[in-house]
Amino acid sequence: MSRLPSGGLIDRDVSIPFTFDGQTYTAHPGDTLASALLANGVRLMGRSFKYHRPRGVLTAGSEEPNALMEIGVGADRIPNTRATTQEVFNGMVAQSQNRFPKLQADMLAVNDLLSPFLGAGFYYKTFMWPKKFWEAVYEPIIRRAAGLGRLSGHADQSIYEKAWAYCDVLVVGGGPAGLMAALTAAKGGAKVILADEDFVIGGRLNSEQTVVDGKHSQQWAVDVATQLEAMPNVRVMSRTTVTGAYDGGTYGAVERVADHVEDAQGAPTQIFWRIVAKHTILAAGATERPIAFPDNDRPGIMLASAVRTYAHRFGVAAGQRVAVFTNNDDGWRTARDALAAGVTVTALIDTRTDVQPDVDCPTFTGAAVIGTGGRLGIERLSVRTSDGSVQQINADCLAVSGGWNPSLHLTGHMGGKPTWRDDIAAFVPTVGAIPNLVVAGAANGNFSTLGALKEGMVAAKAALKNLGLKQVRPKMPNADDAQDAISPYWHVPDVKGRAWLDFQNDVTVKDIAAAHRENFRSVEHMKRYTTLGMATDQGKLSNMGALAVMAELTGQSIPETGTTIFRPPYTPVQMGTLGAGGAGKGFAPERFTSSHDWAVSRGAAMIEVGLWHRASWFPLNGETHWRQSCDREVDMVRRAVGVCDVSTLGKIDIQGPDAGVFLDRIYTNMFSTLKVGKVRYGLMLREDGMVLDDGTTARMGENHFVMTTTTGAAGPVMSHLEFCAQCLWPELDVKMISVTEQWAQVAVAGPKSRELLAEVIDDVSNESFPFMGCGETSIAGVNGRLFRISFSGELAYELAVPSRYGEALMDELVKRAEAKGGGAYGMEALNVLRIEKGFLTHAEMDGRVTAADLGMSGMMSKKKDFIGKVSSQREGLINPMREQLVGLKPVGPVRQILGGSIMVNVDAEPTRKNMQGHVTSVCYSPTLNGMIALAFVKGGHTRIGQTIRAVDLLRNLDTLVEIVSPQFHDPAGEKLRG
Amino acid sequence: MMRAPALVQICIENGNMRIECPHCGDRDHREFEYLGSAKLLERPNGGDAAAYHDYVYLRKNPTGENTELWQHVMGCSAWLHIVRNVTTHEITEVKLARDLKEVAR
Amino acid sequence: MADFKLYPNADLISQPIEIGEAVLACNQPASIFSVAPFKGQGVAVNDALKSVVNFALPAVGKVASKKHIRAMWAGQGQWFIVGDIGLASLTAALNTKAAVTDQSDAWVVLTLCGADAPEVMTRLCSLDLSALAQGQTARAEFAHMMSCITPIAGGFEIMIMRSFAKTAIHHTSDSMRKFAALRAL
Repeated sequence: MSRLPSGGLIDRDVSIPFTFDGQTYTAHPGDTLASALLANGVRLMGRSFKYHRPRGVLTAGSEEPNALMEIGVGADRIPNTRATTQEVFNGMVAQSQNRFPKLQADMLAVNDLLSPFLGAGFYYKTFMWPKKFWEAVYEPIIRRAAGLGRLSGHADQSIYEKAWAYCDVLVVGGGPAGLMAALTAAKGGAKVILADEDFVIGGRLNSEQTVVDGKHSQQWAVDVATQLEAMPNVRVMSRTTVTGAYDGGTYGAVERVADHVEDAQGAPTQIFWRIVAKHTILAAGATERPIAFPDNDRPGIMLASAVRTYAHRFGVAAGQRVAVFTNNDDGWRTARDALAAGVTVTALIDTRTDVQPDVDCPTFTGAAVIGTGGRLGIERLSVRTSDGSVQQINADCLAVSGGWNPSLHLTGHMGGKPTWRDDIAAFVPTVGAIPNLVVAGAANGNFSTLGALKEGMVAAKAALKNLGLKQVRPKMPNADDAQDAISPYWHVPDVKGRAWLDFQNDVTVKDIAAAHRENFRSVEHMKRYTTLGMATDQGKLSNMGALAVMAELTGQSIPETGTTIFRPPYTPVQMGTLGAGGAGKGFAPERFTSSHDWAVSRGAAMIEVGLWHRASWFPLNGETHWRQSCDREVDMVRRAVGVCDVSTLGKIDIQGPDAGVFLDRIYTNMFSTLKVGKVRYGLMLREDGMVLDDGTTARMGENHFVMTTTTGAAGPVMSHLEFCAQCLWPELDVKMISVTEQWAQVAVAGPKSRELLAEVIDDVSNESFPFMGCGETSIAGVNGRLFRISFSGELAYELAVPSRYGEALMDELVKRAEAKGGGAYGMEALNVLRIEKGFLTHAEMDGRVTAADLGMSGMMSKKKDFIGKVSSQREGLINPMREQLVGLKPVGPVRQILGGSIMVNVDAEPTRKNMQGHVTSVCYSPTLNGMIALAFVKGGHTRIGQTIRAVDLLRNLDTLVEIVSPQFHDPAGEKLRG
Repeated sequence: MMRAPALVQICIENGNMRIECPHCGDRDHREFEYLGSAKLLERPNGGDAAAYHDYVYLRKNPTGENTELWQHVMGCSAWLHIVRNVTTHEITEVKLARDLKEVAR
Repeated sequence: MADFKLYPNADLISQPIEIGEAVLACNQPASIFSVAPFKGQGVAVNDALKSVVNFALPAVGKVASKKHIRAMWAGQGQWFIVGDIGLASLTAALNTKAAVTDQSDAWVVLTLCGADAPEVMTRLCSLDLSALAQGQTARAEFAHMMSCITPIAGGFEIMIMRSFAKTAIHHTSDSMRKFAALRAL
């Protein structure tokens, strides 16, 4: 292994230092970590998952199973990075994985000696007994010994992003087929996105010594990519892997923006793209597959195509003495190219008997490699020749070619099954597997350069036709049209020793035989029994070989044996990338009232209510516990006046000649009879008879209502009204729109509320604004709305002004309230005030309660139909023993009640069977000087005065309580009418 | 039954579906909220408990084409009557529920 | 009656936020009113509007404007009249013909302009913005929030509900920052 004197797409004038396992090396721009390590003579790059076998790089692409690394330090350390795709950057720190204490001498390699006991299925058999040992002993040991890279243990500091892109034609893959497709589509005027997972566009064109259009294929690729990049209708996205195909022409793609730079400097390291394409051309190429033979996993044994890639693209000789093992003509190309690069080729071994390799080196036909030797890397191999004799060959690199598998993975993402082609001994995509996606080039089983170019052009022309664009015909370049002959050959038969199929999960030919023996013969069973194909490479290299072995054992053909289903993602995607934008403030939008900053400046403790941020309580000097503030605020409202921002309540403006009729059908009670200038409390049900929401609705004009909803139900209620208006009764002439955001609304509650408002509003007399009255008003020249409604049981108003004045209004009213011995109150006090009065929130209206359960059957109009009317009268919903809303007061020595406690009878065991109900809301009532609660109790309405228990088994509290009316405070309602 | 607030759609990134809204054109399905079978259009106004039982609870569970109600909550707010193949997710028809009901009358 | 004034809240963006090649600003119009014509009143509403603002309601997904007042489609059967026009004159003209509500305080009108604006928008909005021409407008999702997106000279107008505006400004400026850093790579 060394750098060749010339060639490759690397900048030899620049040297980049990096470290691998603490040792410093240099690379050149254009190098991957794998090519740089090979150039530096490093071929031992990892240890295998189960047996800790020494492993080197096998491939030169994203299918790499062996050379997985940890890149970076501290929180930035990313495990399981493929050295074959990771670009080297200045100062990069790379470490090998799954070894202890070091790569060259891994103590856990003892697993390899134990391999007779660790075959497929060993987990299931060996660790069956004793049962409790699994979690305590076996699993931790296995997890430590078997594995991949380590997580950093720190929060990920990298920045990720998501983005959307739209195009007429998405081309997946920038090899000959993809470039030709993109060029044809672009010239026809289509909006094109060309995505390629590599950092250099060109695919195999960069890895071969071939000529396209009279120039070196590398040059042709550069020229076309440059041409494409200059076109305004084309977006060339390198370092972008299309990871999944989804419904409606949507594709997921990961763009690695800054994985190749030392410091991203605030840029996202990766972007997850959602690309919506009218047409897609899959030109993802093909991956070469290995042949299984004993000890075929020794470092230095590589895919033949990878040997060529390292030579031509990176200017790296993968060995000084190369041997080639092949079942097809393509393998010869590697031998020829190696010779041309001045490397000794010690043997060309072809499994076929009827071929005459035209290569100037020792050749063996009808032969096979039956073993390899060497410490921490290949030094020699044994060849069984056509006459059965065995020859030893020296080689420090063995290039293996078992044929090519089209990269058809995306075509399986919507459940499509591939089609088998005997002539190339491979599966190809089935036409129509993904709507509006066509496959071109090697991904379609057309492996020649010319064939790929042609298919790319044809696919693009078809897309242009479908798009209604003119079909241009770019000049078809000349290129190599060699159709490589192949004779299927999956594993060397009649040999001793372990022949690896899945390098990453350490699955051998023998393991497949074990699966067959134990009757795990369906591919899906075989996969799970052996774990073949379940590693991070998703079986890109191993699936075909294993299928072939199973087919051989069952006597079926490969297509009869079938294949497992490919699912997204095509290559592993970091969780951070998938979750991009969802961390921190991206988790959910935040909503702020217009008095938010004011409340914060007053020292309010804020609480999230749905998406809203609301003031929970306003601590005054000396108050150190929320209860002190809350008790004071409650007392203040009961004795003087309190001011609270209630802007978050949903407000829906409803207008039209049929608005009254519409509301009659929405609410259980009548609204068409409500007089202009009055407000009514309403209850709305779902069609199944359960309570949906409650609130007040004001009639502002003959055809104009303003509905309020609870904060949490504002969205769902709006949707519900729109459903009713559009889907049920579109004949009704009614229009609705949310005005929640238009109005800042402030509750002014307490015996001194009228006195306070009289200071700022002209007329708040009982005559103009009686209980449940409403109307337009004006405050300091700003138009507003005043509602005489109460959620506290006190004389109270809600005053609405345009949102921009919300802060000023709060500030003004609170100052004036403070002068009267009152002040601001928050959510905690609001909650206590409404519990004392027995008013509802969604703690009570939890989707399982009826109007009758709440004691509101009187609100169910008999004069009209309304949503939920019929269903609410079903037998089960009118059962008098349903859980009904009641109040609770402690009567025993325990004075505390906890929310969520279950209700049980005094002498009953607190079990599920004995449950009599549950506590929904609980608070300390400063007004009543003790804890009170709202609860649902079976037949509760007839059990007032009875004693029952509220039991919390989690927090171990058992309270004797009396069932009382839920209206603890002023049950006659004299105060709010005052 | 508290659904997620309709003002906000937190979407899980598995699978994607495009819906052609008659007002807004082709949009990602994250902008829409699914309600259920289009049977919900046929409210038995004035019906008895049995009729409502059928209306509220009984649904066909077809393989292939299903008629559904979706709302374009993040867009025009229109309720849509959609014919969707539940096996392939292919949407073959999108109509405004409002128009459908008015035609039926 | 006490003598006092109600001051309006400070703008959420006092100085335009300029990051990279994009500028995020607040461009709050004098007023925004919703207009939803009642059944069979479409023609009458258009006639009445022509007498007040000199144009009719635009088609679905479109914007119409004269001088500094414009009407934009804002959803099924609903339009926004944006600009310097009084609620009284509008309700007088449209009385019984359409439901009119004041939305001036319900929406915050942001503008995102500059060379980076289209790319920044792809991070925030699932719309195909290149297909949205001048004179068009869309109700769409913007960073998981409801919005009205309208192309304007040199960028986009983003209307967001007031309570969400702080979140929208946070996400937009965050995306502007990330994109500027990406371009600097």
